[in-house]
Formats: sequence, C-alpha cells, structure tokens
Amino acid sequence: MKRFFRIHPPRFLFAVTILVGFVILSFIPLPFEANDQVLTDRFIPPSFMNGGRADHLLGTDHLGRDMLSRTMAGIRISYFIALAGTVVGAAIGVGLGFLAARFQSWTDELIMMLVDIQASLPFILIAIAMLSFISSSFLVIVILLGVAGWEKYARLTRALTMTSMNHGYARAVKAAGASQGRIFFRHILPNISGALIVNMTLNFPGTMIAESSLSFLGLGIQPPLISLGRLLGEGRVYLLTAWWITVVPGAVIFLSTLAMTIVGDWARDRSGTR
Amino acid sequence: MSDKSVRKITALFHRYSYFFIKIIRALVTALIIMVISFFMIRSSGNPALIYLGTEATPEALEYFNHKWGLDRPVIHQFSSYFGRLMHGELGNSLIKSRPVGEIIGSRLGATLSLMIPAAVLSIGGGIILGTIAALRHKKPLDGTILVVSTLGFSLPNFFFGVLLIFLFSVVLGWLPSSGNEGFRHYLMPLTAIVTADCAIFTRFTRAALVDIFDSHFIASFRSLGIKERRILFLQALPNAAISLLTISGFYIGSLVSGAIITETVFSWPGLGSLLVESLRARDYPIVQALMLLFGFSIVVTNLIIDVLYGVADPRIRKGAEE
Repeated sequence: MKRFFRIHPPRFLFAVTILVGFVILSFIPLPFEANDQVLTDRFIPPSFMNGGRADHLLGTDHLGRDMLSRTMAGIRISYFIALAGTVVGAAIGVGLGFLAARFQSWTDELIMMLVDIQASLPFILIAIAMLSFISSSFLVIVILLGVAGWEKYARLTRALTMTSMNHGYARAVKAAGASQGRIFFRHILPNISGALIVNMTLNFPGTMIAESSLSFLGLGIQPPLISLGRLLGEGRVYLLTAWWITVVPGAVIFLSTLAMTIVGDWARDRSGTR
Repeated sequence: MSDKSVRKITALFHRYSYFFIKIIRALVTALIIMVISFFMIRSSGNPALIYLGTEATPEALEYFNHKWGLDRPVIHQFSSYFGRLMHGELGNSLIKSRPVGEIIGSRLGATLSLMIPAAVLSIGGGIILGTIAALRHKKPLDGTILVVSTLGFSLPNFFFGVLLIFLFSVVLGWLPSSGNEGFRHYLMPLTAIVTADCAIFTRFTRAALVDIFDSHFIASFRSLGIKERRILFLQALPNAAISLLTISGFYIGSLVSGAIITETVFSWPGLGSLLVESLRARDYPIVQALMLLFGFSIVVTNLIIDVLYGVADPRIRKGAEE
C-alpha cells in the first residue's frame, strides 16, 4: 500500500480521477438534446443559485440550451479531437523520423529541414493560414493538430532509431536477414514506444489548448458540433448577465489540461526521460 | 575562375557551412510562407466577387480581373506578386480602402507596447523563479513554485483573460475590460500573458538546472569546496543558457502571433485583433500581409538565435559539418 502511494502520488490520483470522471461523464446519455433551443428558458442560472431550476443543473445559455448537456457533448468532441490530433501527429512524426534514420543523407537533410521549418511556425499561424482557404471541419482540425505536432516525434524517433540500430539486438536481427522495415516495426519501435508515449502524454494538454483556442476564435469546430472552446467563445458575450455559460466550459478545459499536465509530468519522471 | 579561388570558396563554405545552412533554411521558410500567403488569397474565392459584390456586371468583373492581372497565368501572377512584395507594396484593404501598410502601421504600436513588457517579465521572472526552485529542490518552496507554475501552464490564456475581466471589470468594476488608453488598461492583459508564459520558463529553467546540479562536474566543484553561489553563476546558469536561448528564440518569434488570443479577449487594438477582424470580414490583403509579417518575424528571430549559437558554442558549428 505504501509502495502504491509512493509510485502514484496523490496529485497523480487526483488527476486520473478528474480525467476518468470527465470521460465517463461524456459517455452518459445527455439529459437534454444539446442543441435544443427553448427560448422561454433562456439564461436560467445553475440549480445552486437563486432562480435556478432542478432540471438544468448548470443552467441554460442565451438560447435556452441546457449547459450540462452542452458541456458533456463538448467534452466528448474536445477529448476526441485532442486524442486524434495527438495520434495523427505521432504517426506522421514516427514515419518521417524512421525514414530519416533509415535513408540518412539527403532524405535526412530534407526531413530535418521540414522539422526546423515546422518548429519555427506557431500552430495558430498555420491554422489561420489553412483555415482561410479550407473550410473548417472535424477532419481538417484533426489533421491540422496532427501537422502541428509531428515535428517532436520525428526528432525523437530519428534520434532513438539511429542509436538503436547500433544496439546488439538490432544488429543480431539484421544479421539474421531481416529487412530494415521489419527491424524497425517489430524490434525498434516496441523498444522506443515508452519514450514516444511519454511524449504523447506531455503534448496532449497543448493539443487540447490549441483546439480550444481555435474554436474560441470561431475558427475551429463549427455548429452543430460543440467543443469546449467554442462554448467559451460564444458565452463570453454574456459574461455580464450569465457568467456560467463561460465559466463552466472554461473550468472543464482548465481541469482537463491541468490533469493531463500532471499525468504527463508523472510519466516523464517515472520513465526517467526528459 | 582559377582552381585556387574555387578551392578558396569551397574552404570558406566548409568553414562557415553552419551559417550557410541556417541562412538557406531561413530563406526557404520565408519562401514557403510567401507561397502559402499567395495561394491563400487566390483560393479563398474570386477577389473580384468579394470586392465588387455578387451583383456586379460581367463587364465590371472583366475589367477588375484585367486590372489586377487575374486573367493571366498563375505563375505570372506570383512573379508580379513577388515583385510588388519586394518593393514593399502590400495592396489596399478591401473594406477600409486604405493601404494595408498604413493600417498595420497604425496598430503595430499597441501590440509591441504590450508584448515587449510581457516578454521581459515572463522570461526574467521565469528564470528567477526556476532558479529559486532548483536551488530548493524537493523543499517546500520548490513544491509551491512547481504547483503554481503547473497551474499557470494549464490555465488557457483565453479562459484566464475572461476570468480576470469577470472579476475585475464586471464584479468589482476596478479595471477597464477593453482598449489601451492608459496604464490601467495594461494590467489585466499583462497578467494573463505573464501568468502563462512565466510558467513555461519557470518549468523549463527548473528542469534544466535540476539536471545540471545532478551532474558529475557540479559534484566535483562541490567537493572542491567552491561556494554554491559561484557554482550557480559561473557553472550552472551558463550551462543552462544555451537551451534557454533556444526557447526564448521560439518564444520571442511567436510573441506577435501569440497576441492573437489575448488581444481578442481584451479587445486590444493591436495586430492580433486586426488579424481576427480581417479574417471575419474576409479582408484578405490584410490577412496576407499579417501572415507575412508574423512569419518573417519568426524566421528572423530564429536566424539570429541560430547565428548567436554558432558564435557562442563552436561545438554546434562542428555538429553541422558532420
């Protein structure tokens, strides 16, 4: 028991509880249809406040839509996009990183140049450039987030693959006649997956903030889809009269990124990589 | 050219290859940014329709297309666009019918006056807090700084900004929620930016210094009885400086584009909010010019940092040659 708490400190357990809680919440059937407008029920405050109603636990927004349902739907989409974006980025990065390590010379030069270029352009700038001529959709946002994050994985995979290729096990498999691709996918990739997963955990909160910033500016997820950033962006106008429309999704974003950062730090410290 | 001079040039190139590679990369990045910005305008729909409206007569459309060269092949258009760019001509705003350069110039000051103090406070504060935390590693003060910086790091800029407005403008009514007329207008935007960015530098400095303090060479200095303060200022901090320089470079380069969110939240009349406004109004000449400006500012800062690196640390220069 003591050992369990040393390996899993309270802050880590707190973070995991939050994340698991939000994920479960997002899978419960919604109490109301998230986009259903009831114009007579506009701006109802949360239940615990004066004038709140029991059926709208977190109140309603400017069109009488239930905030709890909208937040739950928002969690579902925002989490999924952040996850998908991280995975797409990792896949592109691992692929290109392997190619750079496998072929070296000018392939390596070219990919590392792309890495440098990518690293120097901030996500929000690439996203705005792209979204001004491709109309925003679910898939476009996922790809954008993936493209924004691939460069770290490419760097990592390239470096780790280059060192692994000289290790005894890789040389032994090579001597046995395995192809480079087989060595990489069957032997090297499983060995470096730990470091890659730690990196994905560390990048997760950044991906989530990137998505919500974009949706906050109205460039990300478009209605009828709901994301947490979009809820916050829309609710901001009514801050004076109905703060809960903004603060509820904002608090969910904050708690999520905080929890993910804690988990990421924990994974990094545990694995001893930096 | 004689054989000797060719050899001389090759030798010169070899010697400074690190700098050449960096300059070529910067130029390629700049070119990519220009190509993207060019196609951004072209594929965002027919500019004639945007400019003249959907009810324009075919004659008017034809005249417009001819006047702006839209009826010529794409490659011609790009070369003339490139030529105009080299002369500093950015065109006119579609909506405000004023030169783009003039509009950008009128908003640049507001962005710089906010972002420069924010950068100084974030980098300076982050390095100081990170150093304090590393010196007190695994003590309560370190824990406190770590918790606060993790909170600041996870709190998205836009949400913190909105919270500040809610508390200080709506509930308490102490501070103005928009504009940049006086000192009081700077307090909330600065707080929002510095909280997030200072946390990044704090976490980074702390991690770098903790690593360095763990290493053998610091242990041997300690065993020689050299004072902690001397070790910190003459050994540990200079060693952390290189990696701090990298992220500072990325950070300073992206400051202007980082202003997009904060300026939108606080209705700050700078370049970031100009970009969002123009994007909503489909005023593409302004969007294009701002993308170029933001992109180039990043390319230039990164190049400066890379060159500084090569000058400061010959090992990095060597690495490029191998």
